Amino acid sequence: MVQCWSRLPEELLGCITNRLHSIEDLVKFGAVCRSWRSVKIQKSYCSLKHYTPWLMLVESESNDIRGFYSLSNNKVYHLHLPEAHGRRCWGSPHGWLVTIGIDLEIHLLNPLTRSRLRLPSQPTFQDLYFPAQTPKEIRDSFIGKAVICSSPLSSSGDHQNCIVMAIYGELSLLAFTRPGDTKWTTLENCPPGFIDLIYSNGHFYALQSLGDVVICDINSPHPKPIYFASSPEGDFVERKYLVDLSGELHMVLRNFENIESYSSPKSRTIDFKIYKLVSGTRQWVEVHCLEEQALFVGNNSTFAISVSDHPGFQVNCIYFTDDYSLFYKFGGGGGDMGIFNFADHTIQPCNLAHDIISDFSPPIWISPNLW
Amino acid sequence: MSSTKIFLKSSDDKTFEIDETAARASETLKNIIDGGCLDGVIPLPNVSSNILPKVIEYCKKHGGDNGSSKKIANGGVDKDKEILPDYDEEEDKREKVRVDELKKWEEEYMDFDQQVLYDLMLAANYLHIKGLLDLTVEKAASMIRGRTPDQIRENFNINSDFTPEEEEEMILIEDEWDDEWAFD
Repeated sequence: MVQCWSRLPEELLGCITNRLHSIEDLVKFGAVCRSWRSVKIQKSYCSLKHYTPWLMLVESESNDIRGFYSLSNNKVYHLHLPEAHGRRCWGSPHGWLVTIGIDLEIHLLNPLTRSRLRLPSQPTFQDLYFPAQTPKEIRDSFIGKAVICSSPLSSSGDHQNCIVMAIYGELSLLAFTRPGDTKWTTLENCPPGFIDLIYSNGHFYALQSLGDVVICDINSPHPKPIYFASSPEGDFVERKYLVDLSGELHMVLRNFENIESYSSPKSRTIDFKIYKLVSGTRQWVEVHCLEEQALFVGNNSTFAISVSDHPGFQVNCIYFTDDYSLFYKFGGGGGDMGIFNFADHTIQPCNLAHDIISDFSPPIWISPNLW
Repeated sequence: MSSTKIFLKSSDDKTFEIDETAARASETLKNIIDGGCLDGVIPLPNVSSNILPKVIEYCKKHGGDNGSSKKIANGGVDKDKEILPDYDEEEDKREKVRVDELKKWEEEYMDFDQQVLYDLMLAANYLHIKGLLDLTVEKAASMIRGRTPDQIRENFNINSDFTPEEEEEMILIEDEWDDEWAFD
């Protein structure tokens, strides 16, 4: 039997690709022969997986090549990506970025395939109180965070299953849209001051600056936030994140060192805490271990990977990037980046020799995907 | 306690004997046995006599111990039952030895070439032996991870069937990707 492996039943080839956790391996798998390629490009096997995360580096002014650092094999991949040039980006575990440029256009962009889907532009947001901003100011600060619920290509047909939720404007309100929509829809009776959001178990959850969590009801004719849980008691920190860990909602608290002046980018993060929301009582309980997971926070939908599937990452660690955009203009953002170890509460700063400083879009985590 | 013997017939008409408890490691065989069709020999037209002994070897190792590994999870949930601490430790030790031994066995068991791997994977799939399917799929995946397409083809004895144009296109993609270094 010659050439039998190229005729392995598709179901079994699918099982094999399911065990390839880095996108590099998947691409090389698809370059072996035609039948393997046809399995590789079947999205049912790949679109729901979270491949080994890459750190998207900052752009160089001179060309359209963008570097992506793969921590698992210590390589930097240079991808031709003019679509991201000059645009502020947010990462996700689904292989897609949300981007906004000084043209005020907003897109979903897959940096690996260069697929791009148009979202309604910035002027279609409602309740804009202070419109007198320059395009550059809008690009740099209008959107606080943007989160997608899935890859826009993960289901067949149109992209209507892909919902993008954003925190926007001076008041930090919530609005959502889909590829193909004509405008962004602001949640009704939306209180101001949202600082983070996440998609978990079929719903968007958003976090207010004082710590209350709302669940976003976007299926009714009057989409609105509904109170869901209060804040953990006694913790007032500047930065908080929501994350889905094994299907359960968690809150991550990031503590900064007090620095008097911000003349240059520097490391400010000193500690993290994690709380788990107990589903029955909706009370927060502090957890002290991430077990076999590694967590990724910054300008991305906060997500976790199981380290056993992704060699090269450390268990029980938080990989964080610099997302404190208020300070980007003071010499650039990107300096506050590193690996926090939950076991001993130490921080290993990021020693990447590549340029990591940008005044509008510093490095971000993304889990690459072909779909 | 001896168990009922079952006879399996390979695609090339050779008959092999297996204990019923071992045969139950296969969902397919288990269904046939439970269906009461045990008068005589079970024909397996998709499994050759080269590979059937290998499958039986796996079933013998795994068929008997279904659920017999006593896990005292989290120090025992039932506090009413007096479980002596040193008994726990002993059990843990035994469990660890058992797992280590099984790993070693699997390592030796899985030491074969890609042709056997191919046949064994198909047999495990056909007979619905999940553990064996997982092992074979994992071995195949490990022969792909971190390799170039050329190395993968060599590992699996595959010839490229892409046109020269397609090959060139893929080489370009790889060149673009193939950039070195970063930390430290």
